[in-house]
Amino acid sequence: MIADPSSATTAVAIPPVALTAAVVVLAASLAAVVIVTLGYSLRSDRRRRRRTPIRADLRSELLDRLYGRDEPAWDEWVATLSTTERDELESLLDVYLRELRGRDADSLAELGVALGIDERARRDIADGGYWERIHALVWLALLRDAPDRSLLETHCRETPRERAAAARVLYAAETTDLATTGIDLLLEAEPRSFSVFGIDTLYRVSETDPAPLFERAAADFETWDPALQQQVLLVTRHLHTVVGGADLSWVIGALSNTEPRVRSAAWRALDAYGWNRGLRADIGAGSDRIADEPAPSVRASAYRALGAWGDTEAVTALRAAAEAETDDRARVALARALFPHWGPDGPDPGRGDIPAPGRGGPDGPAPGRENAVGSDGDAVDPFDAAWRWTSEHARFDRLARDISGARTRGVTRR
Amino acid sequence: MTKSAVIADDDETIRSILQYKLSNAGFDLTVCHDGEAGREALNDPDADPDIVILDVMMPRLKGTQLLRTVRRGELAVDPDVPVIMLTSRGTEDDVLEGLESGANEYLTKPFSPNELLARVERLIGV
Repeated sequence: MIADPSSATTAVAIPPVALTAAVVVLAASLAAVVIVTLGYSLRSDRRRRRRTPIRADLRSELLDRLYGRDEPAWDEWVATLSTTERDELESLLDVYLRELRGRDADSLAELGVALGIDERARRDIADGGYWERIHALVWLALLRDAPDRSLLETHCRETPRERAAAARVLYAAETTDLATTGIDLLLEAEPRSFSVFGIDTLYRVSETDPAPLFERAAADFETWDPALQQQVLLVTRHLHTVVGGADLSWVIGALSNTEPRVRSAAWRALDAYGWNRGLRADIGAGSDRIADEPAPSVRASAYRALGAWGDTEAVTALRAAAEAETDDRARVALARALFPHWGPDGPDPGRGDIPAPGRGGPDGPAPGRENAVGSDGDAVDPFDAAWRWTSEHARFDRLARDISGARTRGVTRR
Repeated sequence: MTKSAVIADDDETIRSILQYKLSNAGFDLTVCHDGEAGREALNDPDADPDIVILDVMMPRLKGTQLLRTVRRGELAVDPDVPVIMLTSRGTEDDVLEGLESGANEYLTKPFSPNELLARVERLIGV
């Protein structure tokens, strides 16, 4: 094939004047950036140098008034401070309020009132922009000062971040309506998925009383986007407070959700409900539900839930699944779910109906797979490999956590 | 008799609170800015603190790792020295890990310095 001469690339000559101008503009831009950066750095450094001794003096005075006197007299002290000192003291107060609770935190909150932070925060929530509202909510949480609920409900529902920050104020102030108003703030009126902070807030609010969360989920779960559904299920999984008569049909419904991540989260949310026979009958964990699940990650979550339940029925279901599981990662999850009930010391004596593994101990083959390993060691059953890996991992984990071994072996102090 | 304490925390605010509170209570303090400095302080041949206060998450060496080293008797300090973990990691798993590592007490931030001092005094039998 002969190339078309007309398609050959031709060099374009750039006029020297244009090239020079481009270089000059580029160099000038670079110089401007350098000058501005240096200017900001120098100004910031000068500001820091000026404030460092002020901050040190304020910190010393703050601690002295907090711990060294019967009465801190915050109002009198604040009245003597310059604007710069008050600004720096607010910064210090922000840091200390995050670390302290109890009487000391209460006393520091009074310093916040003396500085007028509480009133300013209420004004900012009502009239400020997005960042002013967020900043104000953070201050009110630090001061453990819950404002009027209508202020929060009217101005703090625009974004998930504001919803979480508003609920966090109620949590910090330990208000009696935390669970009900908190869940309303977080999940009422077209909520969207949260940041990590929001998930943590949802957890903290729900931990005080999960009932409002469960009621809201039972009513609205299907209308939420999958990311939020997953987050609510995640929170449910970690709640320590189990509600006996709660309507968890929404969790069971989520086991059939079209999104694998939601189905996976739903299985894990059921970790703490192994005792609920009625719920388990509705789930049908021992039936074909797990075997028919197409996503290995969801099957892995189902195995973990069965492992958390840990009774004879659940362990039997796990053993049956071990025969059929085809995915490597799901097999490892299955082995890890089964391991606490079989190794390293064999089955729980209280579960005498479960036969012990062939060789027993953490390094033996998986239960029911005693004949899977060939005499030459080559033919290792896939599940047996997962079981051995799990056993080894558990053994090293125990070694790493052991705090008595070296001493009992006679290691001497240097 | 003067009491002594080793504090290891990378947070300046926490260090300042502990220094102020424990100094006022009559403790001689060795203050460390990270886990490795804490390990060196506890491995000093003269190290004989009445109490050790450790943060969990610290640069160079985690508090739980340092505590396990102490409990295994790998440092010069008495392996049975009372240790309080002071940390922002407050989930059940974190608390259990801290106690399994050999901590006598596990306090989460934000914390009450008065409560901490009461626990210190109970541990050392003041």
